[in-house]
Amino acid sequence: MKAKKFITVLIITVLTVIIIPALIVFIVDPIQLYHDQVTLKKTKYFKEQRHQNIGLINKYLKREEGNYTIIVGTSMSENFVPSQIQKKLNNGSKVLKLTMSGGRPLEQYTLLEKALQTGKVKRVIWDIHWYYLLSKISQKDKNHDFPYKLYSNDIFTQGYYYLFNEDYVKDSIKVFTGKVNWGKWTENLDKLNYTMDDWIKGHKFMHNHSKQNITKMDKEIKKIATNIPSLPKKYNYYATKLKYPDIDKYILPIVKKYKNVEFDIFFPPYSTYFYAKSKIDKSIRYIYARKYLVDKAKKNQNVKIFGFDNNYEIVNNIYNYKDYGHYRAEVNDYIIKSIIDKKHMLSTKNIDDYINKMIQNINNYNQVYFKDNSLQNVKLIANLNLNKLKWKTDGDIKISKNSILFSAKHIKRFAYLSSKIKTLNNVSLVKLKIQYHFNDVKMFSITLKDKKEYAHFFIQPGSDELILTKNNISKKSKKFKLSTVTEITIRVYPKNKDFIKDIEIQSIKMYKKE
Amino acid sequence: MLFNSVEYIFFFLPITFFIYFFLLNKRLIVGAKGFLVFASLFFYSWWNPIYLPIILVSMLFNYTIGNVLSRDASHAKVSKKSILIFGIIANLALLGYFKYADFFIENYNYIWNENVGLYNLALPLGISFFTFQQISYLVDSYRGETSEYDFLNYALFVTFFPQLIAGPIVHHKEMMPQFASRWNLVKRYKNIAIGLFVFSIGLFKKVVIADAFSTWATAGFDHAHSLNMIEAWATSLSYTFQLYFDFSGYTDMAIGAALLFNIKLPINFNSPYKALDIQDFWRRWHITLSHFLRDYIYIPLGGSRVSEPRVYANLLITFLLGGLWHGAGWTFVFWGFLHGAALVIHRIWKKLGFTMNKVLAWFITFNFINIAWVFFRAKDFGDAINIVKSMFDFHKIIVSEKFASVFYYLTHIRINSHVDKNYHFIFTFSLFWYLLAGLFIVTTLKSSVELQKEFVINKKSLLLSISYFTISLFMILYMQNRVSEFLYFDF
Repeated sequence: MKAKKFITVLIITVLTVIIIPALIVFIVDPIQLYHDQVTLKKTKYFKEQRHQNIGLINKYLKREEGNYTIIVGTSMSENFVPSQIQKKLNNGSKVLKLTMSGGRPLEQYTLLEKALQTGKVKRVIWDIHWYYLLSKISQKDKNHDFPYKLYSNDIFTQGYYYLFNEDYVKDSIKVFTGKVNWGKWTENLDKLNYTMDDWIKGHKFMHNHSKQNITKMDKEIKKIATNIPSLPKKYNYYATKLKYPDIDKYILPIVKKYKNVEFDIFFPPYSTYFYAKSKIDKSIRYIYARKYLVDKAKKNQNVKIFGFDNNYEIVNNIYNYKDYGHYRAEVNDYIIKSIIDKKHMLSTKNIDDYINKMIQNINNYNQVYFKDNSLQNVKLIANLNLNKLKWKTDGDIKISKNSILFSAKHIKRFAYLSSKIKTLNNVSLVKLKIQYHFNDVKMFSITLKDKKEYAHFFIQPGSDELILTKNNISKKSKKFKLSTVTEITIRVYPKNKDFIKDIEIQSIKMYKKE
Repeated sequence: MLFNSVEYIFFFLPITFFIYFFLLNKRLIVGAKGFLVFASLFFYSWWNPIYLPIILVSMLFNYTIGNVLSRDASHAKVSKKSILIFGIIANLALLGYFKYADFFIENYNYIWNENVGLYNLALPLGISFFTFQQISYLVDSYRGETSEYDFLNYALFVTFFPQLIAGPIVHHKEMMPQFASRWNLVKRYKNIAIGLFVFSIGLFKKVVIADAFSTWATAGFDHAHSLNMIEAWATSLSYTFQLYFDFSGYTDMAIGAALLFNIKLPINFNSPYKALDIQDFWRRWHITLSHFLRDYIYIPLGGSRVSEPRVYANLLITFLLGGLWHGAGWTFVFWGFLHGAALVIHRIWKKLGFTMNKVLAWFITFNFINIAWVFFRAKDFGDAINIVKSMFDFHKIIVSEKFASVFYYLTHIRINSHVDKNYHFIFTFSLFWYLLAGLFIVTTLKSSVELQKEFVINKKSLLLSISYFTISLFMILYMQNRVSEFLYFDF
């Protein structure tokens, strides 16, 4: 072999081999940055929002025709369902959700710039989370790095980050073979970044629907409420002093730059309990931001600002909340309906009154309000007679007059009991009342079956009432529709043990829509 | 631009290579050399353009002084010696200002309990290297050992990018003839092939081996106060290997890159951890520095031609200064002292005519070097002493459960498999295998110098080069930006 050949073969081989993984990423393009997926069956979306969103921006806003309404913001907007909103809007505009859990002002600014640059966005629905309202905040969420390079306008920076990335190489191979981890990927754009209602976050509200917890919260709030000084006075003091650098830096320039885009900005309605429990100074900062933004944006005709803090049935009722701030998907529905109907708008005319009312409500909140709304608009159609059903089980059941006592030993993963029931039609909601120790149970898995199809509901312990609706199905066969029920199976996963005892099933009720 | 960076490997090096030889091909020799100087300065200012004037001024100054020194000076008003002393002082002042000012201020403050503000200067890259190279040039000019060099060749000698940042410390006598030679002005495929081969070895050493050890070494030194015995040894050994593979890898890459331009840089490492005594070690480790210290400090002090106690003193002084050269800190000085003292002991030992079993000799030498590196690497004396203490604390022997379950008999000699909260990097199998592999490589495999000498163009060396390059480049290219860990359900 001659030296020249040695050199040529060496360089060509090395370059070829090292370029292959990048080529794979380019061809598969897991987040669809350059082109739609060419995978075998169905498009897959990555649940790492900060990464997938730039792919969605390119896929829809850049490559597809039409005009778009986009939803940006944080977890406060995650439960908007794009397809439903598109129907409600009914104006030919397509809806795309680009939210980021824990999305910081700078991150959202970067994303919005990228989305608005395409010129296809006509409307932006945007939640202003408290990240915008503090005087100083880290622009990085502790659990997520924002891939600024992926959002770069320089194709080399972007390409180098994306194509030459070990993780994307692995992801590409998985997406191509379809063997993705469904915890990280989804095929349904509506369910992307959608956190279901049964998610109860944090320990404070872990059992927030149990009587025990409500009593405890009630005690706490009573203790604090007595200490709240009158807010209006302080508010006037702060009114002249407070500055919101992140509103100035990351909201106002965008709405000024894109005058032809409509901005529907809303302040997420946190629970009144949240404000009542926060430090006074912080609460004042949060509350006053409404006035600040209304004042600063009043000249911008393209901006509408919404607030729901005086909808007391929402904010006072802790039934609506999964933790201090995160609300149920129904609240998202209400917000979107209001935005479309232009209700609950804030303006220079009503803002002072609005804020005073809000403060008043917080100050008067010295009793926790809990009202179960799940049974609104439904009608009981069956209350199963538990002791007459033929139960199959791998544990022991004791049947008493009004309930079933369930226990099991030597459990590998779960213990179950199951029974066929008389076929019921038009079912829209199933409610189980079960007494158990929250610390004994890791998870319930309830399976409903119609004639052939089935659906699983994975439910974390937290309440003695387990409610199953079409909104909280965790996993189902394709054709299942909650309507006909012929069989119910209850699986109990014990926590750190191999046995369960004293799980008392008190009632199983079926409801239909009124 | 690091040698293992994308911009160096894929852009700077190939572009410089092609333009240089394109210009030579057009018979633009001055242009080609000028371009190479320009490219080297560009390479230098990639880090921080602020320091570009420093190297330029240093280069012009030394070239002028050198020329004055080598001229016939019978009519001069100022003696040559004064000029030389002035030149050396100017160089040392530059180095002192940037490298040692803060160190002196700190010590001054400490002794006099004062509070003089620090300069907090960022050290201009390679300043220790290019200053030393030029001091040797001045000294040799004074001695009349230089001829009047062409300025362009001199500039190349100082700035030539493969050796600019971290050596080898080149000597004008080795370099100038090469830059001046017309034979080196054409592409030589054999040299390019060897260059790529050596470069690939160096890249592999740095990216695959040294960087792996660096994780463990860093973790260990970050928790220096609470390591157990096994961890302390793993830490010091990791650093011992990291330093060698890192530095020698870097040197290999320098040698390889220089060969593309037909320049042979001096060897700098020759399997140093195979050394059987400390003198042997210094003939194998950072050879160009050893030569410099020998020729410009040790010998001028009198070398070995003076009375025995003076020789010991000379050795110690040379190594104390050598320590200080590595960094402005007492831990470096102490590291120098350790090596100086070891050399003195070795000299006495040899004088007395003792010999030692080879394996034992290797064992002692290697462990001495290993422990001395702890002082070299540690942030301060406290950390260094903690680690050395832990290395000999037989009450604190802890390994991971998995490890202990395989070597269950270890428990008979009171090795605990307990995992406690002070456990920083459990002594795992991967670390174990890495250390074993490291030890195997440094003690048995051929050095890259030998490999370079034995290099023949055949399928085997082609396959080796391809593997080294591919694996290293894969790590460089694809492991830069990792997607952050996915954490679902977190707001």
